[in-house]
Amino acid sequence: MKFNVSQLKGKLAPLVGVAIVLAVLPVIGAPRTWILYLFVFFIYLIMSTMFNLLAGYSGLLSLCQPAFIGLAGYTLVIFTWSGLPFYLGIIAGGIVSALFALLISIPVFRMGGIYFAVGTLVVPEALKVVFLLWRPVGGELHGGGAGYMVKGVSGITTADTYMMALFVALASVLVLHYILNSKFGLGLSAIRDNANTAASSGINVFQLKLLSFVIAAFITGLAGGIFYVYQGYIEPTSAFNISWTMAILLATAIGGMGIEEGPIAGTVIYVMLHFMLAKYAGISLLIQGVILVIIMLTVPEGIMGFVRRKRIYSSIFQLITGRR
Amino acid sequence: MSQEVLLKVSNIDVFYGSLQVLWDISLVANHGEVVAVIGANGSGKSTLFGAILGEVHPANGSIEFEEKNITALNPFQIVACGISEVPEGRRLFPTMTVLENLIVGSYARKARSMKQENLKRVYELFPRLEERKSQLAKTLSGGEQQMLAIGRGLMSNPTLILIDELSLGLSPIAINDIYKVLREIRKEVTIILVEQNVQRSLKEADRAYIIEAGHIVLSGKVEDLREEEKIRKAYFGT
Amino acid sequence: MILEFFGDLATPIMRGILLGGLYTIIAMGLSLVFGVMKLVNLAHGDLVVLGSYLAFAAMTMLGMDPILSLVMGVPFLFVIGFLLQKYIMSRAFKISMEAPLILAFGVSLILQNTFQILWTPLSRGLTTAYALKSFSVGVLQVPLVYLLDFIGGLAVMLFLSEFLKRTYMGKAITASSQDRRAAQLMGINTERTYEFTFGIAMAFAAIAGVLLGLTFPFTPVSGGPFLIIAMGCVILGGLGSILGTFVGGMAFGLAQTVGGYFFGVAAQMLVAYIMVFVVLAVRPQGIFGR
Repeated sequence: MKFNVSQLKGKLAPLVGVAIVLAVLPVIGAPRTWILYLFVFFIYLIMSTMFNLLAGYSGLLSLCQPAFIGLAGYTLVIFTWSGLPFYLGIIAGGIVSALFALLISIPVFRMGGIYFAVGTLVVPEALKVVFLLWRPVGGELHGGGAGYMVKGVSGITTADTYMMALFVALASVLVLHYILNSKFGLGLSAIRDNANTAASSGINVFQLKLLSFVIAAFITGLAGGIFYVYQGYIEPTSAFNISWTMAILLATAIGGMGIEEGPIAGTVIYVMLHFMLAKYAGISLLIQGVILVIIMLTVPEGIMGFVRRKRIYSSIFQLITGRR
Repeated sequence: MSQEVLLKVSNIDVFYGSLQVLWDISLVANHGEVVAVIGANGSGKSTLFGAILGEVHPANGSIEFEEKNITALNPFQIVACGISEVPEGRRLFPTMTVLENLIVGSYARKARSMKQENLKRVYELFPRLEERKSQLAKTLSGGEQQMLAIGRGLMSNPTLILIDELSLGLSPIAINDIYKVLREIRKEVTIILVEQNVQRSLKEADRAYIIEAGHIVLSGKVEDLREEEKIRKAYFGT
Repeated sequence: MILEFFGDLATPIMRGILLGGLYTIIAMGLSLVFGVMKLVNLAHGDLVVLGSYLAFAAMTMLGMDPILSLVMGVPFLFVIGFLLQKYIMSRAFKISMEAPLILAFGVSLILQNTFQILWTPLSRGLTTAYALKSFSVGVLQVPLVYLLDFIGGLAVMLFLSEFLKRTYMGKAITASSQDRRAAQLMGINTERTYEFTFGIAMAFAAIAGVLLGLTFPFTPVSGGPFLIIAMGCVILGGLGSILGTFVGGMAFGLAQTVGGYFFGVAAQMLVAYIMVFVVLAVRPQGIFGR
């Protein structure tokens, strides 16, 4: 795969710079709320970047993210309850999600476009029922509910999870960038434009889609694992809940699907929204839904799409740097 | 044969997005005429029909039908005015029967009251359709499908019929039959015909327009065109 | 012993078949919109539950019998569907392939949250006097509401069949779903037919909602599982086949009741889900599909 190093330097140097600044924040004693906000931001950034890979670039409107998140969480539980360290649990969570994606890809990819969306919708619902009934580790249900506490994470601070999340977030953005600038990405663009033509040009459509799907599942799973280390407990209804999908969809849609920087812009706004709406927990989903509808009807290409279209980007860039 | 102008297309430019496909096209069809539009694939013939029917709207110029400006109307409104199209490839409703296809043809309000008479007329023109009236459209032969497509077009009581690629995919015998019917129909409707089979269409038409790469390069009465050096060379090889 | 086993099984089988009527009605609306406009209305399940909650409101606030409330509910939801298509969904179709799906998703969550706000997460039911009645047919106990479900399913199926065949609008809807361009050339205002289609689908949802509320307790999030089952019915039966959807309805009714009999109530949905998944994967064109 081709790898354009100079291009990497140009666009991503500022990104790495920002990442370093962010990494230093907990060390220099930034306020706890900042750390928390940024942590949530990283988690959603990972998930929407991967969703963008799927829906924006691979033509896969995948509604089964909660499956990856929940499975990773439960893998974490199994590992920690078996006495294994949590970081192995996180990595295992990613692997389990990836394997699961691989498993369901066989039936699910046979479903064209719309059917795919419905097929992926069923998966988290089914898993929710499974985990309401199945206790993978531990004894009888106590205190009602089918939830678990995550063991062995009492010593872990928010700062620690913050660093993990930051690392994976940076990695996910880099992975997306790397993919898009490689032959893999070229193949994806071809598929996005016209799958049939792409196939007749010798592109193995199935393989590329599968690769995207599995990569997205793995990284989304990692985010899920880190999240549950932070939260400390997991429970089927919220783990496999459609509100994950809603949040990810909204963040990606606001930012702009199919645009590389989309998830970054979208997640920034989404997280602000999330914390503003936290007081109105009851109607939070309602407002998110309304915003999604409004965005899709007025600015379907998202903020970054709008910005690009209006060439605001290049004008500001020109203004700042004095060159085209 | 009255010479009043039925359809007048004046200087239209048509774009698909930012791509221009028709340049300054003007075309006239008079009452009772058969007008042929001749051109290679991709020359813009279908787009021209699309513009007349309101499927695409021209960026400039105007289209008038019976002296009414129809440039900005929607397809279903234009059909209600009295223009009908027999589309390229027939586009029948596959799982509907012959009769059902014909009935759908009379959907336009104006045509509903004339449904029975028009049906009788279509059966007169195409007895085979009456024989096969309960058969599914997709089970008909190519020639029969074309007959059904024309019959369906007639059910909407049109004053003007646009026929796109009349003989596409038909056997020589079927083509002959279809053209026989065309000569019958032209007594009641004005026809604009797009045809691959140039010689055939010129035989039947009163006037013709030659379209190349989105431009009308030649037009006029068929007798005059036959004399044209270019046409003879290109289409008749003499 | 064996006779006993089959005797015991007879009840869930009978219930499953009758329940199929309810699923048919739910699926019919979904199938219409999917078949005509190629849209999987992800909000369909929630729109059915809307019908349930509206009937509930009529019952608790006006003391009206749910089935009677359909006199108001059906036209009301028809209009809602008509307007939804006219002003929201039609715009989405022009944007991209995914936009309508995402929009429907948004509507789905708006509905779910609204239900939660207005009626709390507590499960509700349309408890009328007859909702608990059942009568005996031989050794079988037939609950009245299940019978109503079945009759409703048959009625809706027949209505739709006749409507599509005999009315001009019905023919227009069929034509628009088979070939949009050709339909326009017939003088059909395809935009209007889509609005009607959505309206009819919503009218069906109203009926389904009432029957649902009579048959099962429902919560703000009940829409999801029923959407999935409805999708299964449509796909199993084959797109474009009304009879197929009816058969699909019975298949899933059976899956649920017989599955529940063998694996317990908690797992009954799971059996249905697995079946949906298998159908999607193995034979997406369905039994009667074209």
